[in-house]
Parts: sequence; C-alpha cells; structure tokens
Amino acid sequence: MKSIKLYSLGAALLAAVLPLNLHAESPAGQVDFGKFYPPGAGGEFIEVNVTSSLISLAMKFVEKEEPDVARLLGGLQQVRVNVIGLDEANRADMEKRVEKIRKELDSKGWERIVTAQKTDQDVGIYLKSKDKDTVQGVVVMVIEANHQAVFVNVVGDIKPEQLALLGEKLHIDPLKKLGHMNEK
Amino acid sequence: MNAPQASNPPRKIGRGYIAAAVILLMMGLGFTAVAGYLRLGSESTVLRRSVMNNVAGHWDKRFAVHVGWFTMGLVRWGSQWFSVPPEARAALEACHGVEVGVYKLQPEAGAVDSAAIFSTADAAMSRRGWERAVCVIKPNQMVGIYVPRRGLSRSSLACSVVVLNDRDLVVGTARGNPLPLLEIAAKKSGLGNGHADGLVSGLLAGMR
Repeated sequence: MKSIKLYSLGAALLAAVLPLNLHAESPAGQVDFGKFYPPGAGGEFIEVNVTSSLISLAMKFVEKEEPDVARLLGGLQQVRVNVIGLDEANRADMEKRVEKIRKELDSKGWERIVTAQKTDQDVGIYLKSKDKDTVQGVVVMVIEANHQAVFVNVVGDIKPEQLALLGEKLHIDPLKKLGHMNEK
Repeated sequence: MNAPQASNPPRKIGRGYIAAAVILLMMGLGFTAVAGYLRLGSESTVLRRSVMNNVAGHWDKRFAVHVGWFTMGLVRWGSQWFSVPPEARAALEACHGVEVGVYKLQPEAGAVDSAAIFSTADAAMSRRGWERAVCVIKPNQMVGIYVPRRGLSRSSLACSVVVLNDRDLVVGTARGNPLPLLEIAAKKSGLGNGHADGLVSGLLAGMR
C-alpha cells in the first residue's frame, strides 16, 4: 500500500515537472542562426559558443579588479559567434540566410539599430529590449562580399550603457561604435 | 572417559607465498602505472578517434603521455626542496593533470573533412558532458576546444583541445587551477592581480 502511494506521488511529480520542461523556452534574446558548414573550398570557418558556465567563470576572475566588466558578464547568458569565409558556392546562400534572419528579427520585435550597406559591406545590428533600461539580446550580422560573413548573438540582460564595453571586450567593432554613439 | 579429539591445525600460508604475491601485485601496479603514463584519457581518446575515423589513411603515433594528479602532486611536493623559477613553480601549481598525444598522418592519406570530424567529436564529447567552445577551420588547419558543461570553477578548470595542422594531429586535455599562472601573467604584464578578462575576449580573438 505504501509503495503504491509512493509510485502515485512519483507519477504526480513527473506529471507536474514534465510539462514545465517541455515548455521551457529559450531566452528572448537568443536567435537561432541555423547550422553553418565550412566553405567547400577550404575557406575560413570560426565558431565560438561561450555558454553561461564559462561566462560566470570569467566573471569570477575579474570581479575584484574590473567590477564593471564583472557586472556586464554577470548579465550575460550566452555569446555565439560564427565567421564563415565566403566563396562562389556559399555567397548566395549566406546572403539569403541574412535576409531570412532579418525578416525573422523584424517580425519578432527586434529593433534595427544600425543598417549600413556599402558596395562591399553590409552591416546590421539589432537589439531586443525588455524595457528602455534593459537589452535582452544583441545580434550583429556583417557580410563582406568578397571575404566573410559574421554572425554574432549576445544573450542576457545588458544595460544600454554597457554596449560599448561589450563591443570592446568581445572585439565587436560595430557594437563598440554604437555604444560610443549612445554615450554621446 | 573419552580423550579429547585433536583438531586439525589451520593450514598456514608460507611467508614465501605472501612475499611472492606482494611482489607480483607491486609489479602489476607498476606496469599499470607505467602503461598509464603512455595512455591518453577518455576525452583525448574521443577527440583522437573522431579525427582518425574521419580521415582515411595511416596515422603514426609520435608520442602520447599522460601525467595525472598523483604524479603532478609528487612533482609539486618534490619541487619545494629545490630552487625553481617562479614561472615554473606557477605552472606546476596550476597543472593538476595533463595529457598530450601527437600523431602524424602518412602522405597517401585521403582528404580531411573538418565538418565531419567536428560533427563526430561534438556528439561523442556531448555524451561525456563536454561542449565545444571554439572551432576554427582554415585551409590545412583545424582547432577545437572543448570544456565541461558543469563543474568549472575559478580554481578548477578543464579543457580538451584537438589541433590538426596539415598532417600533424595533437590532442590533449589539461586539468588544473589557473590562478597561479594568471597571477604570474598579471605581474609580468604590469597589470594588477587578477586582471584576467582575456578569457572571453581570448576565446573570441579568432574573430579579429
């Protein structure tokens, strides 16, 4: 009898927990760029995925000496960077993908902060804001026509005034410039 | 009156047998320990297999060495009796275990499919609770860095690396406490103690 009660309790707990797991959503600032493959002609391909465990570790290293950086890192959940070398075989596909992601971001309420299109370069920066004081995600997409495509997604709670610092620490030049413009 | 029955005395194992068993046991442990120095751990083995199973050809083992926590502890303990440069002492303090394997691909080998290698390695490492933090693929070069999903702390880091440079393959795993090395690096660079914001930016340096 006792064991039946225990099984019932276990089943009830499972029933309560499973739907929660199934409905666990990815953070609002996270964007799925899709899977990238190295260019066929042996071009450059870089993928960096810094998850929360590495970020919190980095935060612990700097919290005494650089509290500003530690605060910034403390709000981050994930940093993903993809750099894909472009060649004749993948250029059209990458441009299509950028276009698709742009449409998706527009439809999901992301704010387009910067669009700079030159003959050989196309830069787009998008922010997902929770309110006027908190950014939940940043997306940077750059296509350098003859060289490479860059996709960056930073997920977490970021203050607008931290954008320059974020760009500086992660070496994302467009974000660094944007942050400095905000400061002015 | 019946006389008490004489019970059989227990058989004594000769001292010689015990000594022989101890010697055999010690020899077995010794062989295992020596073999352990020449055998890579599981993460490095997974990475090595991921490369070798995806590149047709013959691989020559140049060397493989595995120095575990026990040996590193002995070396650290022994080093206190000698004058050791601070950089070397910091390295000894930082490193709690390290293993490296170096292999050479023979010239008649097939093409290297980096995407397939990473696909295999990602799946196998993920089953072990590790995730890929960095992947760099360039012509004739490939670098992957894996870290555990959990259990990372300021004083306990672990990472596995796979590097394929032309026909040279290097796999390795290191575990340890990076703080002593970071302190030395900070002193050398003239920065304050703990100035180590390079972790994230270092990981992203390949972007530049």
